[in-house]
Amino acid sequence: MITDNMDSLLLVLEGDLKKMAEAVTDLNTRKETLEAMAEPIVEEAKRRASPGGGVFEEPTGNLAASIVAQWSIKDPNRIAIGWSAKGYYGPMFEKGFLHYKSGPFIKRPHLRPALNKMRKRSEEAGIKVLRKHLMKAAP
Amino acid sequence: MSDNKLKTYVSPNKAIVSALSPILPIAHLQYEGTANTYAIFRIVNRIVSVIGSGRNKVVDCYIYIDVFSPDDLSRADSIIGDIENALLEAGFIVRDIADVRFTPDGSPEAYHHTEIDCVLTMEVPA
Repeated sequence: MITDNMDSLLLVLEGDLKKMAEAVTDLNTRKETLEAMAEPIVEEAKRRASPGGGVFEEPTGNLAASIVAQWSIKDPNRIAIGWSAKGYYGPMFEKGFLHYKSGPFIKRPHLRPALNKMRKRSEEAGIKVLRKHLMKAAP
Repeated sequence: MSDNKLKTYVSPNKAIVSALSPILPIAHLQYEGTANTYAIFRIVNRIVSVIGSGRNKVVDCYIYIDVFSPDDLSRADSIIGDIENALLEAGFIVRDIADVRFTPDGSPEAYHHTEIDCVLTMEVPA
């Protein structure tokens, strides 16, 4: 009967969709996707904060080395991009500060501009990873 | 010669200055005047928006405006509200407004610093 065939087809389809949904919501997939999305942003921020990056006058490379992306199982849909403890002064440069009491205002944004610039590449990297996992799960 | 017809350079300076100069003194990167309340701006990204046929018609300018004042900039009647209204009227998208720093009262250099993160989409000349 056509109805029986349709029912079994729908069941198969439902099973396939479930498998694909599980593939993209899996914790490891989420981690891999978010890390792939963060990578171009971190690289660009490091480039900007490095010698030749055009943001700092005489960069040592220490601040660039401190820029990291961090994923946590406690908040698996999010990846944090920022500075490690060694780059504690990164946020000051990002937002700006007065060097001494009456000194000049110093501001060297390098993280948010990297995000603005690499947003599209980051999205593409995420889609690439998700597509890979979807294709693997697809029948 | 390259076939790349994408244009990246536009100058939002005039749009920023004409929007904000009726409210407070504003300068690019560094303010040299004597006013206590002033703003500086910087353009951190100019990003091409591709429209098609290998040419773009618009560029998104990402701009930070830093406002300095001895007055508390977080109050309901603060100048920040006027600045935001002026920016919105001039076609900017205001993405974020955040307190950055405060030097406590009693210091001769007491000031409040607020950062306005905004975007202006500009047409590129043909």
